[in-house]
Amino acid sequence: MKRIIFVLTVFLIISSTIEGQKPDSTGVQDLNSAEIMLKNDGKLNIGGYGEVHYNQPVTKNQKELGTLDVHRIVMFLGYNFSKKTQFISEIEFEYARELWIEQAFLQHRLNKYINLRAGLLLVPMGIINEYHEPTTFNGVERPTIDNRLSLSTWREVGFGFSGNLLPLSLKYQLYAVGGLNGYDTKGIFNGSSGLREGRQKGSKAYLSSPALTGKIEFYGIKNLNIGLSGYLGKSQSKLYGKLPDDNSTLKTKADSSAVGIAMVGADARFQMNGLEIRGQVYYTSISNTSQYNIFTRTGTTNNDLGKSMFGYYAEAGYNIFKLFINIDQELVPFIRYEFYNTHQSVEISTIENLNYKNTMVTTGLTLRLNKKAVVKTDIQFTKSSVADEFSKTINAGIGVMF
Amino acid sequence: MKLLITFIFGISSFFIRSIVGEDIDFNPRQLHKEINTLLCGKDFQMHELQIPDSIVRNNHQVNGKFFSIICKEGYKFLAYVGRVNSCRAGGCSNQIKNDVVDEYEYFDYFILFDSQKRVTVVRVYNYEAIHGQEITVKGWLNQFIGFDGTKSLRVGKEIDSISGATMSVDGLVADVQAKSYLVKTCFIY
Repeated sequence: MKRIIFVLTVFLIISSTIEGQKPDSTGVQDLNSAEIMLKNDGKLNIGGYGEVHYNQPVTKNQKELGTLDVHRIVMFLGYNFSKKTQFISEIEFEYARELWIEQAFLQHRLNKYINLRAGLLLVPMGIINEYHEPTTFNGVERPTIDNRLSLSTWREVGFGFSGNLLPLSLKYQLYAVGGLNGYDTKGIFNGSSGLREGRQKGSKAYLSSPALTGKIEFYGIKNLNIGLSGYLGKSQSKLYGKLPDDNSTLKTKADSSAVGIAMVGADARFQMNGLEIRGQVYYTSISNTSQYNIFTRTGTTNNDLGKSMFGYYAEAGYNIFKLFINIDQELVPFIRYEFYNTHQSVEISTIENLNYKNTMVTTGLTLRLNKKAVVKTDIQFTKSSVADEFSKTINAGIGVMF
Repeated sequence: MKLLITFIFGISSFFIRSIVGEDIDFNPRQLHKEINTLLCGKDFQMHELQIPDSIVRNNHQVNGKFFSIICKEGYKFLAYVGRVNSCRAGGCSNQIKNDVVDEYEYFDYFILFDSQKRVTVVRVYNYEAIHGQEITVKGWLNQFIGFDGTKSLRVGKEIDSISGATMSVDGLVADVQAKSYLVKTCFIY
């Protein structure tokens, strides 16, 4: 299936660069893909974004290897069936070798207050998971807590509603989605990576119990956007497959392979007179971790999934070119402070690992050549609570959106 | 039973609203409210102005109407009520074309100009796009007050940008500039 989508996408891209065939003499208009796009009837939309990174760790008295990476190229394809009904998709090439579908959903607009959505949806946690185009955030890499706690880019198959309540200056989203995979043939979650490896990404995802997720955003104050997001569900386990109703032993075993997840996030963005401030905070509570850690042990060593996880970041930047009337570009020096701990709390049977408690400081420059093309560079300092000093990584990259 | 009827009525109204036409309301309640409270009080006359032939000849796209407002006290104002196309339905990847086609999301807004042809009020009264609602906030719209169409307005300079609302911001700023320029150059009131 992925190969088919890949071939189709390549075909669309290539065909968009060549001149379409003209109608034959019979007047029958068989349109190829390029013609459909160029016909300018507004039905088919194409776009995308991408980013290329250079990451260079720096260690005193030691040579380190850098990384050069086409981190992601995402092609957007959308089709308007009517004014109210659209299909929206994003096809992602990661690390120049992996192919993923980032979004693929059908949307139908009932009225100005309610849109129905179904398909592969972005889980609306925090800022970055929804607004992750490289031109929309500072720093070469996305904030770390969006990777460790919010699981960006987090998407699952589901359905639900989104809409806008203009008199209240509120936007909302509410979806039922497939849950995180916690156990297939082995335990997926652990203290180091938290829940991240449990994303099913719509790739033959299995379902033992759905999850609920939603977000409310308030935008009624000038230049300020405040969001409150949540996720509630039980992790998926393949041990629930073909489980007889009356087999309590197997049910107990299956129950031990799943955890309950309650995640809440709050975020804020403020922009005024060239000043950009944003912040996020996440808290995740995980239940049944004691049984899960025992059930998913390796040999005699229990797993170490934490009972709760916590993290936040605060970032400030200022467009210094705002001061120069004749310069249309934006140059934003910024600084971001992050903290996260995937062992915010643990069961009595689990030893708290202080390596999972990390602080990061990222500072750098974002040069917006225009609204859709950026050049970025920064230096990132990272330190766990048991480390003596910060490790350093210099990053540089470009980002585009079109 | 009452509950069931209410439920059915509510669901029906949603679907009916989803299929009725969506013409521009050129006489919105919010416009009257702003005229009442800010400009004239309750006694005023409002007449549509014909768009000069020169505008039509020059192919300026005017997706709206101009009105003259005459207060009882004799003060005169001018209003523009119109529509701005935002993202194309299904994606923001294509450029805005401010013509009337079904494939665009849109929002409706009005501008009130004072007797010196300066912007006095900008309000968005109907927002039919999925993203970019932040432009409806009065505090942000008040940045246009005093604009007279003589200079250019640039997002990120004279007008604050809004993350996540780029297309709506660009569309509104371009439209306010265009309509202010037309008012300055084409209308006598």
